[in-house]
Amino acid sequence: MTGDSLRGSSDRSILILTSLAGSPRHGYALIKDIQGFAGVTLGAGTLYGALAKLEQAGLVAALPADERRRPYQITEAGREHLRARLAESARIASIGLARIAAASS
Amino acid sequence: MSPQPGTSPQPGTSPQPGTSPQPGGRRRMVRWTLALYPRAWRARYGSEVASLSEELIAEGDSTPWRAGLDLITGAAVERGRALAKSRRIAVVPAVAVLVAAAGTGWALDRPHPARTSTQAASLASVRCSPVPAGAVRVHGPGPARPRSSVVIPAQPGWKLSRAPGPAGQVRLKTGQVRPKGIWCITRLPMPCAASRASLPRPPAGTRALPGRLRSIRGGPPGRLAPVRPRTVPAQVRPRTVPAQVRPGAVPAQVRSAPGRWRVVPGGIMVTPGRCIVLPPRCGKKVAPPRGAIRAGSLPGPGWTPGPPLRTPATLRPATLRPVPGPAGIPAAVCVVAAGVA
Repeated sequence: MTGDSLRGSSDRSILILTSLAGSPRHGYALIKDIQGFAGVTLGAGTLYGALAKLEQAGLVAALPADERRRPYQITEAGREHLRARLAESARIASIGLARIAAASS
Repeated sequence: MSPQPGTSPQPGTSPQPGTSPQPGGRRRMVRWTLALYPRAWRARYGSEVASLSEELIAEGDSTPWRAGLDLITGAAVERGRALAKSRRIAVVPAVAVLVAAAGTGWALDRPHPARTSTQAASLASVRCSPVPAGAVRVHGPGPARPRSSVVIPAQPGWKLSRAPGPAGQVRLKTGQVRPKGIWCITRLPMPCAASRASLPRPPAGTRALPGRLRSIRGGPPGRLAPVRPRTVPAQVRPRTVPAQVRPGAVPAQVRSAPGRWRVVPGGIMVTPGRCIVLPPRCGKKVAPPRGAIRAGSLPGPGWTPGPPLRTPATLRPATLRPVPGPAGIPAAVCVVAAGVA
């Protein structure tokens, strides 16, 4: 997965949910984690724009602030949403890969 | 927004030369860009975003320019989101006001000798089921156009009948074809009458005459009672409800003394005795009723243009519901007649 394939607010949401699926993280840790596993660097405005949408949708929840950082954690609904989206992506990916393989052979 | 304490660069880390201004300047830049966000959003996330932006710059993960651009972009997105939300909110009360006014305000505006508080409450309970926008199509070739609707809380003693006007039909999404909803309201010593064709469900106790007038004159005896013409309110209060909000095309209403003409340009002409719906942009000239004034013009001194009508996105349906009053007399009927452009 490259950075070019991860554009759009929906993809950003998936990246954030994926990052939070492991453990609660604050903004800076989220950016670093996403940078590490997806190669995408989100800005603060972009990150919090997506976080705000996810929080309003009940997919993530804010935890009590730790000094000047507020960690966020994924909710059960967010986990279900992420699972469904990733399963759909995996299904499409498998179809695409199979067709590429068939066309190459 | 005040800068967060402890947002200076971490000890031991040095900002990229030439890209990171002094902490004070950074804070000021972040504060300015955060001021572009909606207030509610800023109150909730502003301090976190400011802290994170400064941290990213201090750690060399971002430059002030990139961080500023990202914040400005995010602010534009949030502004747009807030604007879209406020528009959605604005439409809902507009619809509610129109429907509520149709059911209560207009009916209660003029005292009715025979009306009791029970009847007034019955008027308020008149409900119209919504019809999805675009549910009506012009029968025949040509693109579908928005239609206008007239919401009239009819009173006993009014006769509602088709008015002379442009012939035409509308086709619902269900495939059902109905005539254009063009109506006349006249004072009669009998309660309401309406064309069956444009009313999906006849009110209880009515007799259908397909393609012609439906009159409850022949309804069950005892349910209807003659009403003296002078007890009929003189003023009919219609409203247009265009199918879509069209900026720059919001019709204006003209106020008049009770019992006089009421004109909505491109929409409706109403007299105490007659009501004609002029479909907007129908492409065909409609002869106004005798004594009518042309849409868009004022009839004379004493007439003043009213405020622009609110134009909700949804349509009101063609519905006629009788509301039982004392002694079984229909106290009010909510009639929505549709005109198709």
